[in-house]
Amino acid sequence: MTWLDLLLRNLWRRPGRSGFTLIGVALAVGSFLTLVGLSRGMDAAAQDSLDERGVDLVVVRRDIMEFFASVLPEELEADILRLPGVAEVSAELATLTPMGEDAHAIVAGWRPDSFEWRSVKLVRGSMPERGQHGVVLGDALAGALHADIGSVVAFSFTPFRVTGIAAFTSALNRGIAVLCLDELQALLARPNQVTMFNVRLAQPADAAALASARTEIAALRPDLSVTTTDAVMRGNKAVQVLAAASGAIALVALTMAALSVLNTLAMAVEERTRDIGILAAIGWSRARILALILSEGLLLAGLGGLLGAGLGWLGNHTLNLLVVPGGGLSARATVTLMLLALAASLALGACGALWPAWRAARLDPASALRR
Amino acid sequence: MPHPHTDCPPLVRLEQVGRSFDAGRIVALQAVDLAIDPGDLVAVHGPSGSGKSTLFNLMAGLDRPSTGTVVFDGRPMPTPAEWARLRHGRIGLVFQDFNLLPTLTAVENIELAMFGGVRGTAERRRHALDRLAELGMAQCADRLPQLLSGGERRRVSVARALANHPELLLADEPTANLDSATGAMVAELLLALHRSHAMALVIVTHDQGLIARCPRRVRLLDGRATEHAAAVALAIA
Repeated sequence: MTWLDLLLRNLWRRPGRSGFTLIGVALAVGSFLTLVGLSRGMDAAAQDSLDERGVDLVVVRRDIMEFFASVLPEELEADILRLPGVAEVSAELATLTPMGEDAHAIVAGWRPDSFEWRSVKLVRGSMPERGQHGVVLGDALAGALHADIGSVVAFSFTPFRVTGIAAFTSALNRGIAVLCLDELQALLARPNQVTMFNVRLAQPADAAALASARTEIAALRPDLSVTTTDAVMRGNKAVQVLAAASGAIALVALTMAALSVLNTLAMAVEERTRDIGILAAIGWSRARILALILSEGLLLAGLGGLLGAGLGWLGNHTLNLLVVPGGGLSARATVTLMLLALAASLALGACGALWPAWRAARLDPASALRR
Repeated sequence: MPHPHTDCPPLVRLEQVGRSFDAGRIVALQAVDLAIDPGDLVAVHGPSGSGKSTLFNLMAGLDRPSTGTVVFDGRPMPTPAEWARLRHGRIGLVFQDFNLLPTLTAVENIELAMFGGVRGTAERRRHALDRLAELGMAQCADRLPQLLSGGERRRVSVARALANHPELLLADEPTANLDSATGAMVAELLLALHRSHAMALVIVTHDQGLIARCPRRVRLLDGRATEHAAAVALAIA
């Protein structure tokens, strides 16, 4: 009989109670992974999307509640372009809009002469001509809308003909719809306004040049936020609120799981007082008895954590499928995050088991045997 | 009452040991002096409530005396951790209520006593099976305690007590709750083990037949101990 056999045998004495505790831990870890994965995934999705389009710096309005609320004058593009180190600037107007019955999409307006427009690789079709009311769809969005070249899709009740299907690889871009900037400005009644400027630098690998460009751009207007692609979502208040709420809910879930482990083991110690007395009577030290109960807690939490990692992956996957075509939210439970969740579940198992284990170790053998 | 059985110091010595409960209102033992030497065979007897189980617990380090001193192998008043180590290696206990873990099989109950020793998993299993075989219980190795008869459970508990080759075996009412034939078989077994393992054996018992076969007899009455030599005791009987 190994130590693990002994632990499993003890937990199996009350299969229902152990099972429900394990499920509780799994749900807590799964919730943690889904919520934290969602908030981290949004960061990563934005970065992947911008990197794929060759963007080095993003200029948006500072202190905005959410990304799409950023409003900047289009003429600022020329000022940015004049700055040293800046190679190209692409003005972008973006909005998140319902499309079809179940889908949402980011609709982006780019100027046809911009580097982003030029960087679009197409699976088939072509980029739309100005005034043509044409649109290029990411392949995932096209799939979700059952649209292909020549199909007509509607934004804000206005029909657009699909002229091309883009071959993007990042999740956000696969769910994007691209049309000419001036047509989107007209559609949204936002003439000469853009959401952001995407900047390509002459020497993006040069950290000093990058820092200098950021400073120069930020100095143009006091209300500008200039970030690298990895930090583009961090200034977004809505994302910050989401991250904080996710973190708080995850923390509550993990605390509940720790209490559940504590409750299970406290009851087990109470029920097994005599058994623990027997262990003490046959020479088990307090440390070994403590280790036994702690190990039971760690095993429960560890198994729950593994199950929760699976649930977290499933939760993220489902969230991606449900909300934006092509997994646009990019809620992702990375291996690091899963390991972190597993470590957290083991830590909460240890926390939950500590008091029952201490109680068990302190039991007086003679009185325990009288129970 | 020192008993110079050998030249070695006593294995366990109780010096003026008393134990009371409920803030001194219940006195279980008073000023008991007793020495158990290596290889001794001692019967502790007396009526119910005379303090036999309390004496058993004190000699095993399961309880601490209210007054006096318990000395094990020259070490006065071992700490709880030291007592645990002693019960793990040098003291074997056989309980009246068997005290086998119900979720573990017979052989696993014996293995449990060996956890923390130097043996690995396979070695523990082999050694536990050897102990069971020694007591004629090999065929019951994989049975849970509730599927064993009283006599079989007792033998498993004896096998567990012998798991780590103790120098002192303490048996609390080993023939109680057994039919007379099984009780006699268990008594024979313990005495045979005492001889073959050359260990001290202290038997707390009501069993007159078993008492009569022990050269040293300690009678407890109202918490006080008196020792009778075998010949005197036999004469009284």
